[in-house]
Amino acid sequence: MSGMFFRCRLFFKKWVSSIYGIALLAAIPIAAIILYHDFYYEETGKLLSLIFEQLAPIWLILILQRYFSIEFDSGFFTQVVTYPIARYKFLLERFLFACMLFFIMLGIIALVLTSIFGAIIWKAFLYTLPLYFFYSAVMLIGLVISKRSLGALLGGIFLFLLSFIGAPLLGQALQMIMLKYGSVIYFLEGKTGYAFADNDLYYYNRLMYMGFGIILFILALIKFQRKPV
Amino acid sequence: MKQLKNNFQYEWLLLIRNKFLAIPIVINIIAWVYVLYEKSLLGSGTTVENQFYTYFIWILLLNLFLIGIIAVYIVNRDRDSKFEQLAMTYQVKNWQWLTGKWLIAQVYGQILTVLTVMIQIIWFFTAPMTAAEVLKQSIYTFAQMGGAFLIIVSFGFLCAVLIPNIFSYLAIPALIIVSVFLPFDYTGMALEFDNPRLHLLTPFDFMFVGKPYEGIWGIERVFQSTLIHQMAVIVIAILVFAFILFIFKRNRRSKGEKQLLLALLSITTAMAIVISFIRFTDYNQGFKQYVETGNFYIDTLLSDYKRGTEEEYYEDINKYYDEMQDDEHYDFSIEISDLDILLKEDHQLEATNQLTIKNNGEEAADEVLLTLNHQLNITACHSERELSCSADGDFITLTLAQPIQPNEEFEMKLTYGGEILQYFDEGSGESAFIDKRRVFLPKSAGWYPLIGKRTLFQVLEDEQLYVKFQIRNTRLVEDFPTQYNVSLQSEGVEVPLLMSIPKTENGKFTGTTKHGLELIGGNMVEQEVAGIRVISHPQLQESMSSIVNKYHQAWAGLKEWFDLDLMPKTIAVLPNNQYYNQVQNMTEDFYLLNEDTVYGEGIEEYIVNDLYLQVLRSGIPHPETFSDGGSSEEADFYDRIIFDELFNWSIYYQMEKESFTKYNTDQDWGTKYDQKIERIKEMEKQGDEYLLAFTRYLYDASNKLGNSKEFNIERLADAFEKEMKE
Repeated sequence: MSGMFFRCRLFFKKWVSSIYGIALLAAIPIAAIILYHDFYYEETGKLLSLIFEQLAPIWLILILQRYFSIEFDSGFFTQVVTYPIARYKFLLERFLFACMLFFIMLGIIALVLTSIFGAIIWKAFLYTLPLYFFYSAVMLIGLVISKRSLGALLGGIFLFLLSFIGAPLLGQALQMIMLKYGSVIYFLEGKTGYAFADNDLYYYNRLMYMGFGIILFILALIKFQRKPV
Repeated sequence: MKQLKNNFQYEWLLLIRNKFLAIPIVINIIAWVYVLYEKSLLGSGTTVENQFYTYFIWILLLNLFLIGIIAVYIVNRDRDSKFEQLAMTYQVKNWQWLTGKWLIAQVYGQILTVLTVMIQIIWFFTAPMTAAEVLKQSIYTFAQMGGAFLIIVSFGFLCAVLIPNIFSYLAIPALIIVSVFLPFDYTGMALEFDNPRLHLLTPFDFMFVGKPYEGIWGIERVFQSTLIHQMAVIVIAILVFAFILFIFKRNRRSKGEKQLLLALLSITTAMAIVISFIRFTDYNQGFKQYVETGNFYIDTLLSDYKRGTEEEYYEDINKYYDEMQDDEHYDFSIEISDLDILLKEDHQLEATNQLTIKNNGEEAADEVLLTLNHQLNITACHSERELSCSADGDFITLTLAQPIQPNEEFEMKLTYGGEILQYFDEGSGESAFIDKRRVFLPKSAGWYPLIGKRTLFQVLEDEQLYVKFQIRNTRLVEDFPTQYNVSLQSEGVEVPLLMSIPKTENGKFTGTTKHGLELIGGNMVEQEVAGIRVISHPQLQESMSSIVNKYHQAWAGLKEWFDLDLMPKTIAVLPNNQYYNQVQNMTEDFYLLNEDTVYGEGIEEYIVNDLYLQVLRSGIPHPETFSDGGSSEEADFYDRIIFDELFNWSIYYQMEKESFTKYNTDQDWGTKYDQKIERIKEMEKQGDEYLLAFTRYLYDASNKLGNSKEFNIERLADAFEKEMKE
């Protein structure tokens, strides 16, 4: 798509020109610093889980919601789709912008934490990626169904509550918050062997979220496409 | 009023025309279907109430979220579409405008409540329950859910009016997390920052651990306090709504409206304060008593104890509790105990006890100790023999004028009475109580005189908890059996009463037991399965009969092959919380099963594990090798593991005649283990019974071994085969 870099700059400018946008960007690093200083963690996993699996999703939800709201809530979207563009590209592009912002910020936190905890941070980061993808896909579904950023927000919040409070309901195999368990950290460090048969739960769990994420993502794109005349 | 009716009708039209509002109802139905099938609750051998209440809280939380969001949406919709601006130029009054919306949100919430109650009623009628019982339970559900929706709608409106943008939606999950997160998944261990009293600030009554339903006692404990809690919730919901009307578009509010609102605000505030205060004191006295109990028995781990990692800390604590177990021998015994008990509502107990105490020791003594809960007051204490009684805390000291000689007996009479009510988990549950429809007096409550100096609670200081201590029931072990003759009367107690000893006639119980007395009253039946009395909820009668039969096979096998007589005379099936409070008090006479256990396919493995633990816990000496842990560097590590497996298999074999090789698949201990197991497999060729005999041989050999000596399976196998050939 032509002009993508330009639009990216435009969006970023729009983002940093509001106090809310800047506050949102600063929120997670500040939260991470507070968490790190105020609580004493015997296990790295607990802190990693708190940052990557419990706080970062909220951040992802709010960033995505804000990117969607710029066009969807203002009604500008109804005009944009009259231009000769592929609708799925439009959606993908906004998604990409949001992801860039999110991952750059999270990357900065991970870089800082690497100096304290070592490479396990990046392994944990990688391990949480399917979860972020699943969150995004659910939000996209909410967005294209309701045509408002509200749908995306509610979808994301519902998922967050499910992962947080509804965890016992999901059972062992479907847990979204996994890093807090020592065995998962052992697995990520390679101590229990990546290929060991008993570890397949850790693969399948993330594979499942990745798989469902992809399916929902594609469904959202299909739903968003122009109806054939 | 006509205007309000118009508003309501207009909102109603908008509601039923909005296809998204069908989503919550669909989600509800999907959630129930998921609960029913995915969790395979049906036919799992638990009561229908247990199944329902296990998931009721989840459904409630899900709906709280949905209804709260819808409430915010209903206010935001007209503001975001700018219709509100237009409507404000009409002659509609502020209160009419908002009340119409509020009522429609409430109607929507109550539709979901009715849906849940209907599911509950249909579900409960699949079990043999009386209509009155079902009605009571559905009132409970309705009060919990209806009240919760009422207040979440009001708060949703408040957020929507105060926050005029999309973030008002975020306020709802935030509110739910703030109010519900602390008591949620509550383990009865409130940490330093968490005041258990704050757990009252929830949209529904959350003062229970796990679920409100307690097996044979149903929802009796929570029912009344829940109704009070929900009354307070309803009043506060109206109060919040009145407050919203008060702050909504103040410039176009008439004077009359303002005065009416102020009147409504002051009435609801007064009511809210009164009702909340009743609910608060209701809980607070329980909490206070819990703290009092804790401070009465408190003890420190070690004065110079250094706290290591979490794991080490819990290990030390468990070690401490194990060491503090009551297993000190006491020479005196109560030979005969004639107990006349009168139970009254409101946890009152009056008793007269005729005791025959015997000195089983070898020395004469002039002091005998008894233990009785300090909540009970001794009103009279006399004997034909000259003696004086003095009570200090839980302990009664009998000082005899003439020393009691070995094997001598004397009689005495003790009259006592008072309130007996005990709490666990910071007052969110009761562990000993006498009420109209529920009675539970476990031995650990110390409600009748126990011989010797016994600690009724073990309480340990813990700085990390809000109450600064943790509390556990103790294990009370008797050295000698006692013959009990109990005559039981009750005033105001409406449920059948049963004891750990058999009933002879109406209100009379007689039996000789080492375990002691447990008194249970509730919705329960007694049946006899393979000679064992089983006390359980009526709905569990059938499933318990097959489960206890399995247990019976295992116990009979243990007796036949290992001379371990662990078969109890009585089994009580208790709800989860009470089971874990009492589990350490199981003895050879009295056994407990957990009502919440879902046995399913793996019932035999479950029983094996259970009985293995029973052997470990029982006072009967068991092989030193029976202890998990140890490191693989110890010379006899694998031998001990194989012995453990063999012993477990021999219990399993009593129920399912399956060979050891079949039982012992999927073991991955390495080559050293495999070599040793080959030897066992060779022996197995001579028949399962041969292997059982070998296990018994190992058991005896291990019993004779000191802990320091090595335990070598191969050497013992040689010796055994040699013996068998001879």
